Amino acid sequence: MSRPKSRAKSRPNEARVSVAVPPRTLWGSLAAGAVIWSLHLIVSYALVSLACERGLLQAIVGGFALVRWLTLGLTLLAAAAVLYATVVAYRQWRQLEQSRTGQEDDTSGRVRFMLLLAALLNGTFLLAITVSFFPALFLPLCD
Amino acid sequence: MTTVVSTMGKTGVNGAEVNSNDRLEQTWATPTGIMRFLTAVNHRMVGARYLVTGLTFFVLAGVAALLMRIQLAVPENTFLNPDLYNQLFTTHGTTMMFLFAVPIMEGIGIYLIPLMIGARDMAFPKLNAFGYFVYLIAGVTIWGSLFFGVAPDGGWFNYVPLTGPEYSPGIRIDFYTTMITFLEIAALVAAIELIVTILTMRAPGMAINRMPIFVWSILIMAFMIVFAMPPLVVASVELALDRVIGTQFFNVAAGGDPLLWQHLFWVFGHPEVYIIFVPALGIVAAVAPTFARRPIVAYELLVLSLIAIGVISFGLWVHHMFTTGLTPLGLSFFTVASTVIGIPSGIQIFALLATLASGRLIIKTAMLYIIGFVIVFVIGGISGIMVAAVPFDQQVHDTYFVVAHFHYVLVGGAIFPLLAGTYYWFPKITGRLLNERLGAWGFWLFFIGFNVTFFPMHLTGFWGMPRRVYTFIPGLGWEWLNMLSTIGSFILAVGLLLFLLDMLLALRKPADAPDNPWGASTLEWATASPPPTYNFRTIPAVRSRDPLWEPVRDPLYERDLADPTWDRFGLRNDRRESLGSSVLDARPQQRIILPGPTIVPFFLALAVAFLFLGLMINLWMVPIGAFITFILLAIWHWPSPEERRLEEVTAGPPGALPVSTVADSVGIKPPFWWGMLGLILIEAVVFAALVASYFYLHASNQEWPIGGIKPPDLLLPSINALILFASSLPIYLADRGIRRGNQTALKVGLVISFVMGLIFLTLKYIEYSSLDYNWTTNAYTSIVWTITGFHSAHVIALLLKTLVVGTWAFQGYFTEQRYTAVTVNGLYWHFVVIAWVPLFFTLYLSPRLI
Repeated sequence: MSRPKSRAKSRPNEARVSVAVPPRTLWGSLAAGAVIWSLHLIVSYALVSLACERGLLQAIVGGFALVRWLTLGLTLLAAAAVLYATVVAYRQWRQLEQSRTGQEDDTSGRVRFMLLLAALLNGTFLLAITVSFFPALFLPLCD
Repeated sequence: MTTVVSTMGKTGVNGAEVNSNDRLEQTWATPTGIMRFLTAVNHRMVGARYLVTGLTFFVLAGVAALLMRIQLAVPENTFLNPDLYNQLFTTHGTTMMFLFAVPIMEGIGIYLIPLMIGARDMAFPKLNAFGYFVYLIAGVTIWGSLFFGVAPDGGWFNYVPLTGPEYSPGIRIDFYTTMITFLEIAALVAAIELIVTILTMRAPGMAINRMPIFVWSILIMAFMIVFAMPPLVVASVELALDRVIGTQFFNVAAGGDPLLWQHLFWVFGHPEVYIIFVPALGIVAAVAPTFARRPIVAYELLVLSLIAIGVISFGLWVHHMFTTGLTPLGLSFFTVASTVIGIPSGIQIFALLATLASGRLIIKTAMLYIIGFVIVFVIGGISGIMVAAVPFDQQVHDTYFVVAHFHYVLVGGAIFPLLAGTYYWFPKITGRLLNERLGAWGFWLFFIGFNVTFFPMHLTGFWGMPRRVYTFIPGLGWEWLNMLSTIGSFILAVGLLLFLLDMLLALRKPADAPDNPWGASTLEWATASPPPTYNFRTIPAVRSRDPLWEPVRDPLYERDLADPTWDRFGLRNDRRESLGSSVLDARPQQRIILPGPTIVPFFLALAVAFLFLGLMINLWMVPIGAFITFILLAIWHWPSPEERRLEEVTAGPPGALPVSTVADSVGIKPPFWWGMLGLILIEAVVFAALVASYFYLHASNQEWPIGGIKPPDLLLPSINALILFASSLPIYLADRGIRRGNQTALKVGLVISFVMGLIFLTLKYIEYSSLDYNWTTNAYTSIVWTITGFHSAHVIALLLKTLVVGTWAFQGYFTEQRYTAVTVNGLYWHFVVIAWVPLFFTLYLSPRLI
């Protein structure tokens, strides 16, 4: 009960969002793709570089070095998370789009815009993550 | 808060003189003569200075390029000696990237953003003036070094070990390391200024989904600067420390790693290209719809692509390091990112083409440059996709192919849009239209000259000509291509001369431009050309993305326009005030009080320059400069007698919005608070870059700590860390206390936290003075001392800041309404305390755990 109240105090005039999209969903789906893509890139790069430099995780399991399995697994995990964020944003956006009436306040338009932006952004980052799966599958690891 | 908004329209300001333009004119006036130069803070004056200064550096760097082209016109030429050639290409690159491209884009933002969002000035006008003086001093110093023959000569990316103390003794590289760091202060303060202004000062109704694409592009550019510049600052500081006090960051023999420089530099350097490109896209998105007579196509996709470019550009840096021997799979991740960024870039181009194709196109000079942009940039983009492929890049790396590629991208992606923007906004800035005929001649010469200069470089690159060679031997097949490039460069220069001539001729004729000569849709065209000092007497209202094309205007705005004695927000005209609005929906919230002309920013820039020059001349200048900086910052913020009288500060007509000074007490964050968040963000990136340096060096060395040094003791540092963490509590209680009007809690809280901070520093001193190594021992000790020293400097800054805030507290300045300085001081305090958590883990725990 107290949460909406405190939020209203910290962001007056902006909190009365007339559409039912929790801020966590809105901001979470907006940031998800960019954050997950960045983390995926840095972690994959660091993992492969460290493994090659220090000779770590090089044991062959099922035809692939462990580090390759790890990289592929991380890529799938990241892609799944971004896909989820894309779907959430898109569904919310479509719901708002369908329930749109002739007269609406500025905030509804803005929230719809943010959700569409989130869906599109996440879609772009999903593509970027997915494409990196293929070099991880085929390219030589360390030399 | 609801009451403020709901009464806003009902109660206006009455009285004949309240909103008279004369009174506003007087309030927003700036002294004349030399004092105008030294004291002006108005965004249009500062913005115009950025533009003129940037253009001057562009011309200087262009002359340097012509000299190099003369040298390369024929083989074995002796027009320039190799040493001067090295200085020229370094100064050319450094100037174009640091002194021209970024400042000019920020300058355009500084000039246009308030006009485009319907504000009277920016959020921190004094900071604006300070940033400009820093930029000017840094630029003059770098060019001064060239005229004295001691300019940096290590290329604009200044690779170690060539630029380290062993291979580049003397002062040359010090100009680079010191002045680039100093210059980034200007870039960063302008970025914060732009972010806070865009987020908090937009005209009512300009929700984020209605912001012009240009405003989006400047916002994204500013965020990119905040994330990109700190790694460069850290790299430059590490190299400066290697050169000046003997640290070992890049010395392989002592555990250092030259590739650390490349990583840090390119984490900045690649986004830097997009920092220049993104606002240029904003210019294109402003010019094209106007001349296509229709709204821009695919607004949402354009915003998406700007954000995507902004983020993905940070994941490309390793593609500058494809030949450094990194692992193939590691490199492939960056190939993917480098290719994927083509998608949002392509969206920009297709949206532009769709806008042009579906509109009723009017071809003016500005549009010619937009069409030139499409052609040149697409060629550069395609060669970019080529060099994103590792095997191809390994063939053409460091050849003229790369020179051709980045000139196509940078000139196509930035200069063409900038020239389009100049033809477009020149009438707004000066009140004078440029000559279309001269403009068209200039365009064609520039366009042809550019292609004749740079297209052959693809071939010279393919045929093996390395970049950065001062001459070449005959018989390699490069002669005619180089001669062609030189001829092209002079055609290009004539085109640019015509452009300069056009501007000079226009400035000599009387001001004749109408307010909106192109029939454009954005708010900067809603005021006079050139705009009055206060930009808008009546703050505009916005109901769509193209407010000037709206058939019906907001009735409250109409009333405000019709009656000069009425202001719907209660903005006073006897002091500088602008409207503050909410971040997402731009609902009116507060009256932001802005400062008038002052000389303090000028002196502050001199003091900071003195501090930085100390790194080159004499280290004693550093603490002296820091002390003067502190005194000037205290003067900067010190409240005047009028500012101390709260009733006077908060006064306004009935129904007026609350002033920013007391906004926090009614739940509205003032710009000052947002500005501090911006500073914290920058500092967080700096700390992250330092921690990344630590772990990079750790990963480069099999033994860590290096040289048999034991990991640091834990007992004293742990106790000390607890003292620092605990010091946040009294700061929090002081803030909470004053919000409830409790003066005692405020004073006691500040004093206790001050003492705890002092204890932390003392114990840190004791800990470090007992060590048997110092920063020169090896790369491990270098990074440990640097991180600790940097954090300790922050604690010292906290104490000094708290000293000032504490003095005001004891003077009774704060009340339960006015306490923002306490809150903001607290924010910074908590940040410095929290930053110690990852730093403590890095310095004290990680050597034991990893």
